Amino acid sequence: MDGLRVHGIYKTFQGSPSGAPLRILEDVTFSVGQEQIVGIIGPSGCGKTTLVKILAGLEAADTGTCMLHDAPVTSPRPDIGIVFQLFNLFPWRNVLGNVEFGLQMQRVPHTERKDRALQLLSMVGLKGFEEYFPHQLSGGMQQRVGLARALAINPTLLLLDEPFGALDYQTADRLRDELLKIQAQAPKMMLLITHNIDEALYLCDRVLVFSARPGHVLKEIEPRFPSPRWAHDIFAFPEFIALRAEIKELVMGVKQ
Amino acid sequence: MSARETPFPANVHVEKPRGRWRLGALLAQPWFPTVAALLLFGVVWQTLSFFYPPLLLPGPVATFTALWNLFAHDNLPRTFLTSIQSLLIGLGLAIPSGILLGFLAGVSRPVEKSIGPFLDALYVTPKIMLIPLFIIWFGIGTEARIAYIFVVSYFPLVVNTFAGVRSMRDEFTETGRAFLAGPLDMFRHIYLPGSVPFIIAGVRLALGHAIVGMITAEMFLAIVGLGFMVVNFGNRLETPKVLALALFVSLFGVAATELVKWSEQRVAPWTRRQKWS
Repeated sequence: MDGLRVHGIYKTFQGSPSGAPLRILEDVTFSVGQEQIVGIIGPSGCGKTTLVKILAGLEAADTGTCMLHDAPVTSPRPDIGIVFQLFNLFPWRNVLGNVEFGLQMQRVPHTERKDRALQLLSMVGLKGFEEYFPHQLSGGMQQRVGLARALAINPTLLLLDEPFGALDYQTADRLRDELLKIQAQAPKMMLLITHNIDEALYLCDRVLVFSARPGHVLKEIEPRFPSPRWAHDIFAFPEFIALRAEIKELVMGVKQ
Repeated sequence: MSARETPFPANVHVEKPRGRWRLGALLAQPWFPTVAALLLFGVVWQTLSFFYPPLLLPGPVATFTALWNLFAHDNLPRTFLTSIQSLLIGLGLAIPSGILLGFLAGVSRPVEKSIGPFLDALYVTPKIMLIPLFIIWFGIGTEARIAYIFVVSYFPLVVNTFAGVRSMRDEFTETGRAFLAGPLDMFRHIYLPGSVPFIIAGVRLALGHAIVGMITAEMFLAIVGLGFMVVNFGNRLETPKVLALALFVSLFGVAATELVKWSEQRVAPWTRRQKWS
């Protein structure tokens, strides 16, 4: 079966200060279809970042499986790209070097990876910034580099771990639209971790609402807004406002 | 931030400097305190030297004259080359091997634990106590001096490289793993470039130790080099030449340190304005 299928993930951390094991994830089960953007939203500390690490193959679940196109994710894979909240650009590599990194690790020949990186840089609007170092760029530009680095390896699945969380409001807004435009051009399977309800509803085809720790899927919501979404003021739609209130209640336990 | 990196912008003078303000503009120059302190030091030194015989305190003029005579009549360049030869070989051996050991200790706890006591011992032992041992092992030739320079410069290289590896932030190693970096890639593309600022700092420290070690070894072994020369002039009570040699070595040290600093900006241009550590 195509797509990402996550089934029965449990994760417990040992060695909390109290000595008691800390259960982070409990029976997490969901799937992401081809060309879908699925959002995961939940209260802070609900294990979202742990889940991303498991999906990226950086950490192992205690039990449960993640299958991407019927192959289990047990270690980092060349077909999974990841974008980090704090960008995680290598300060010792210039913009081009950062975007080329994943391709270089996959032993893509020099000229080929350079062409690909330049293509991605112009796609994220950073043409001409190849020689800059990360510290010379603004946060928004750095995250564009992070996005280009993840897309450069042409992943089947793109993991976005609160990608706009460290950016200012307007920059985040602009980047959200650009992500949708990239998705419209060359659709991918994306999993977006966020704590921003508006963002989740705006970007995602499906939103999974997580419970507080131990995290598991409380509810799945399928926002149906006209596309392209950037062409409509969906924030003013009555359906949007209703869904937002519903998620807010689930996440924060507050009745609006 | 040094004067070299941030030249005082000319357009800061909003008002055209007129007569009585010219002094103010001069005082505002970023290099002014350094130059003023050096000049003041020279003047005080020269003044003091009028009150003492040159045997006790030669003035700057006498010292620089002595320095000129060292070049012209005492074969200073050749002696310097002899000295610097063992310095370069000693450092040339210490730098790669110290960096290698620092890396191994950084990535492997067992290596760290097993070299720990030896490094601590090396740090607290006055290395000068080893000179008789080196004489017994190597004789009083070049080898003994190289061995001594190696020993005094080894420690900062190991410790700094180790610190560089250990200070590597998890997010970089994690990013490396997520993008499929293998163990060798991690070394080449993450640990090594990430440690460059620490390694360069280690090289700077090692250089300082090595210059001191070079002179110390030559003074003890007393057959060649600048250290031997300074002992000789001291014995003959040629105070200006003793001072001139000290001045020469310190100028050399400053120049060598500047060279290392300059090389850091070439090798690691991203460290110029470091925000990430």
